[in-house]
Amino acid sequence: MNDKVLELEKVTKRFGDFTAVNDVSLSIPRGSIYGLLGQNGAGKTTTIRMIFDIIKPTSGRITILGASSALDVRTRIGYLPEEKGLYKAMTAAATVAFFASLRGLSRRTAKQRATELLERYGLGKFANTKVQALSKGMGQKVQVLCSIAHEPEFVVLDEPFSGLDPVNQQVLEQLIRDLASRGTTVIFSTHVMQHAERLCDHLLLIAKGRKIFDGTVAGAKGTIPRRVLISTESSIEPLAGLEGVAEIKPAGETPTAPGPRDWEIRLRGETSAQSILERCFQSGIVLRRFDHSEPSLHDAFVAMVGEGK
Amino acid sequence: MRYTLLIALREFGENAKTKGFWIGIFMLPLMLVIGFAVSNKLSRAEPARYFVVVDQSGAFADSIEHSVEWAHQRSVLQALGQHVREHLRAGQDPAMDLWPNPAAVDAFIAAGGKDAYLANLRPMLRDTAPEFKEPARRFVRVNAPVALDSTASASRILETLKPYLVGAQRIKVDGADAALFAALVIEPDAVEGATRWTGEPAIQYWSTNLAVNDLPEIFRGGFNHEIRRRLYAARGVEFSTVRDVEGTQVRIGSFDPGKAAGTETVSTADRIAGNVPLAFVYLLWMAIFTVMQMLLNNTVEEKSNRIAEVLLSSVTPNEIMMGKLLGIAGIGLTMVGAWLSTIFIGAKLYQGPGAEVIGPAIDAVAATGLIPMFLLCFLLGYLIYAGLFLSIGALCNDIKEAQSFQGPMMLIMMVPLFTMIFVNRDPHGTLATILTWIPLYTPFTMMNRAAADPPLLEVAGAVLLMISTALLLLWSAGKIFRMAILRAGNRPKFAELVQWIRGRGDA
Repeated sequence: MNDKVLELEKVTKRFGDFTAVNDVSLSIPRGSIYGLLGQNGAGKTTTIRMIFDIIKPTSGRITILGASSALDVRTRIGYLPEEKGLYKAMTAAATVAFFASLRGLSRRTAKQRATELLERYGLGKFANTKVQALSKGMGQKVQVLCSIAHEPEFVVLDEPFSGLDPVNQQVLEQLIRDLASRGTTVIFSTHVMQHAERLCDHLLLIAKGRKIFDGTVAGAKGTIPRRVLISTESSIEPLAGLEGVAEIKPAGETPTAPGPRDWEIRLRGETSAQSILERCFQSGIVLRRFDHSEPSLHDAFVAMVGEGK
Repeated sequence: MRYTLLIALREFGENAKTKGFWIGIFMLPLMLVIGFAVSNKLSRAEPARYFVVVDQSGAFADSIEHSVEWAHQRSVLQALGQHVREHLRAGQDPAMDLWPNPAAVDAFIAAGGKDAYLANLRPMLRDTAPEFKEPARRFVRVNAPVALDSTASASRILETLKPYLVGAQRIKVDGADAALFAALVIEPDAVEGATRWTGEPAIQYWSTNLAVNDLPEIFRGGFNHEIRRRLYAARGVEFSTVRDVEGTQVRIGSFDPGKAAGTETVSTADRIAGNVPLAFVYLLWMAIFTVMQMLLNNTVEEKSNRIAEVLLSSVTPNEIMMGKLLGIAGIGLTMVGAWLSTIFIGAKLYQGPGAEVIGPAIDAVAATGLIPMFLLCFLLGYLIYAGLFLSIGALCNDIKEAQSFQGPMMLIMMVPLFTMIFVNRDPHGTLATILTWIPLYTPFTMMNRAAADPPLLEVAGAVLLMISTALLLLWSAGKIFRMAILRAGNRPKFAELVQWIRGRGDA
């Protein structure tokens, strides 16, 4: 059995003169939670639509669960699109059952599964409520359930957290973990780096249609140098000559009034933050802040997207 | 096919739950029943209308009274005929003319009216037959208001009567106040001036209600009778002889050479059946128009609510389209089936006035090929219009945009309604022929012409045209649907649409 659920080989999609996705290749291993990150308009949704054979690539090849078209394996895959939409006049249970039956479940099993899922995720009371009467968050939960009711091997969730309150975001995070624990491969796209950081084994970062990073979360963080952030009113000149300091640059906004200023000190190799702190004390630099925490995924994202410009 | 059927079942199920569907199902039968009951009730509940006659000539009082009475007796005979037809025992034949033609009315009056007729007819009626109720008099002559000087000039008389005629004053009828409906003023020289077409008319009818024509017609009958009697007398001709001769009723037998030998006689039921295509055209139009609204709304909903993308990840655009077509066709057929069943069953069970004609007319319709033709025209017409409406639905971002297309489409669809009478009157004429070959109108025109046996070649050609148009439009709709259903923002230009249809778009 192929351990890759999805493979893209040099996939490009053009709309007229505009290239939405440019020569993207990727390979997603079975059982992983894969984050698809990128700014608005980066090409995430276009990539996903090509994966599901909703639109055709201009060039390149896509293999999903060993098939060349998602429609050939439609009973084994699930999809939550970015733009959420449901039939307003249908009840929550009928909606989940309908989409589950479109994914291959018998109508009877689909109905049973819909009832179970709605119950499990706190919507049991609303099973016979029309979608138009549900809150936005509840509607979104219903749509997520539509994409997983048939217990797919591979699920793509496009911006699943948008529009959800923090409590429901946690519920959805748990749902994604549950899916992964059952062996389902999950791809989700998001703007919220905390979700990706907490959930993903692997990340794919796209900017302007191009892949700019494909690897683990740790790998992403490793793409930016280790640094120390300090805040001081003193001159930082004494730090510039240190052997372990690669670069010192202002961090954040340039202050307009006299007062402490933020600096980012990039470190070379194995230089320890402790040595920078000692040098500050020795040089009489009065510190308001000394931060040597690991860079976040957000920092890595901003850095990589910035470099990609 | 499984996915197409799932989509079709959803479309059918969800649309069958809408109020619009059930209103559509019940509206037509309900309108028929209400329309019939209300018109029946209203005609019976019509109030008595009072009129005054100021006859300064002294020549017409009797003839007008006779004419008003004659009109009333005609309505009595008409109601009696209906009563007898409704309650006649099986196998009984009244052997008297109960249709309200002039000779029959004269005979009815001469025989002594309803009491005399009922004495003979009652034994022929079923035991359960209720008592015959004579219809109320519609027009009643009343005395002029006391203040009126009947010798004054016509203008003075009208000055007195005007407040009564416009409702400012009420007349007294049996001690109670009542509205004066009309006034008839006959000037002294009316006998000589009755046929005068220049200057002031010698006979003047005044009323604010111009819609009720019966009363002036009754008056005209009375005047004509008296004037003609005088003219015949002046020429030495006995008027009663003239009346006898004028009462002669010629009977023309109608036959249809297209019917089987021995059954060529054209009955009233046959005549009704001959007009049935008009009703079928109307039903066809209503059915197609109703289901097109549903198809358009559903397609726009799927696009504007972003449902299309989820669907497209599970099924192909063609499966969605075919599912929608099947589901909505099911809705249309259910609606049409309900209408036809209601009409047929209702007509069969109907026992009221005209039942003796309606039943056979329905049998005559059932015996023709009109119903299969109707179903064929519905299905092909549905597919043709579905191709158009699906494309429009896929191209519109929301229902508002779709409504801007509905206006022109509605106008295009109204043409068969505007022209159906003319096509029915001349089913092989130029208009009928031209409309037959305009694909959007072919279903309606062929339905309209169906009872007139159009040439077989023309029928085959029209069916072929409908099938090929439906296929072409659905094929194009499939292309447009696939490209447009996920597209948001500006609608594509015409050139872009052509590119899509030719398979050169970016998707």
